Parts: sequence; C-alpha cells; structure tokens
Amino acid sequence: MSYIGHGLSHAIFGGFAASTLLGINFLLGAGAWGVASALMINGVTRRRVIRSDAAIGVITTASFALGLALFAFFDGEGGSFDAALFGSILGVGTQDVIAIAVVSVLASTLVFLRYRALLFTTFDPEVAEVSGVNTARMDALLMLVLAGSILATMKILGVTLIAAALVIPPAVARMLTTSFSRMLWMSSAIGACCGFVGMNLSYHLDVQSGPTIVLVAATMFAVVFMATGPLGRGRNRDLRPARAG
Amino acid sequence: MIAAELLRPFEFEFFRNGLVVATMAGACAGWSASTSCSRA
Repeated sequence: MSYIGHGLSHAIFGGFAASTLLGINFLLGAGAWGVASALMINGVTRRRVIRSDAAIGVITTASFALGLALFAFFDGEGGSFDAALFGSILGVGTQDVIAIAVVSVLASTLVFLRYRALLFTTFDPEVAEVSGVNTARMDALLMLVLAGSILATMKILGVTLIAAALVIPPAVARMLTTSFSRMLWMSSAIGACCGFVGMNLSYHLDVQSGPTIVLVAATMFAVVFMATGPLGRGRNRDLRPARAG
Repeated sequence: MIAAELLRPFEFEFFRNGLVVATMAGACAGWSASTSCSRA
C-alpha cells in the first residue's frame, strides 16, 4: 500500500492539468480530482477482484496520462509543466498555507477521534469489519487525508518527488520503533523536519525546493539505516499496535 | 553575521509561505503515509 501515495500524486496531476487549462482554482480542481481518484481506487480495491496495486496502477496512470494529453492538446497554456512535475516555491501563496492548515486539522481530528478504528483497520481489516468497524469508511477517510496531503505538498515537491516525501519518513520511523503509535508521531516529526531543513537549504544552496527536501530525507534514511545496524530496533520484527492504544 | 545570513530568507514572504507549507505538509504526509505503509 506504500504505492498509493505515489499513485495518487500522479492522479492529481490530471486534475492539475485540467484545472489550469480550464482556469479553475488549482486546489478546487485538483482536489476534486484527487478525491474522485482516491474513492475510485478504494471502490475498485474493495471488490477484491483485482489487487490494490493493480487498481492504483490503472486509475492513477490513466489520470496522469490524461494530464499529459491535456497539456499536449492545449500546448501547455496557462500552467507551468515543470513546476507541476518538479515543484516550485514561487507558486506557493497564502491559500496554500490555509489549505495545509485545513488538511492538518482534519488529519489530527481523524487520529484523535478515530484512533482505535484506524489502528484496527490498519492491522487487521477483516477482524475489524467483523467487530463492527466500518473499514470502507476508514479506508476512504485515510485516502482523502492522503489526497489532501499530496495536494498541499504538490506545489513544493512536484508530482515526481512526492513519493519520496510520503515513503521516507514512515520508513525511517519504522527502523526506529516497532510501536504503531510512536511510528505515527515520529513520521510526522521526521517529515516536518525534512521540510523545514530542506526549504532552508534550498534557499542557501540555490537548488529547487523539491529535490533538496527529498535529499535531506534520503540522507536521514541512510544515517538511520547505518546507525541502527543489522540489529536495529524493529528491523526484523513486525509492527505492533501500542499497548495503551 | 552567520545568523543574519541564515535568517535573511525569512524576510521574503514567498519563503515564509513555502517553509510553513513544506513543514506542515511534511508532517501530514509522514502521518498519512505511515498508515498506508503499515498495511500489507
């Protein structure tokens, strides 16, 4: 399922292309597109006829291809193709700050109110469903938060680099802990740290923000990987739910 | 001197906006992806 973030970022590119070419607000157009893609993937996956990776591959790649076709058809009018692919700090405005604040509040509220259901759905969806947890709704909520995070990050990192920002922080946290609750806050702290340090370095080194943030995250991954060694915490153990929940 | 140089980008609004979005988005991305990465 790590592939979902990568896939959704590509799906949202289709919405980015459509909204810029139609002159619709990026956050509204690409946001609606991202939500529709997330719900579509969730719907196809839950049929269980095909695996989730296949559903993600089909829907998101088709959406990305549609974005490319739209740019080619309209000759790239009204939007920066490079900025969409690789990110640009110059495109970030006050509305993006408001958007990420809204996504942060929604994500925090989801964890605060639905932590147990989230935990249960993550570790054992079949038993969770039997126990009365609406796993379809939890999956949809998670995908919506993920789509919101990608949407808010897209202008800084671009479509091609978002995957690293989504996968590296949890991967680093996973090497440091075997507790799911600790992994949640550690991933957030690592992601925030990479964003802060990467943005500052990008200014001083005069390198684009997206690649700098990803390189900071990759360096952190390499350092933690070497520091934890072959016997690093949890390297060979399964992730477990927190005792206190 | 070094501190002044380090703080110089904070004078620009685009940098402040970018920094806030990158930091908060990093946190959100880390959180939301950790749930999907924990799945089978």
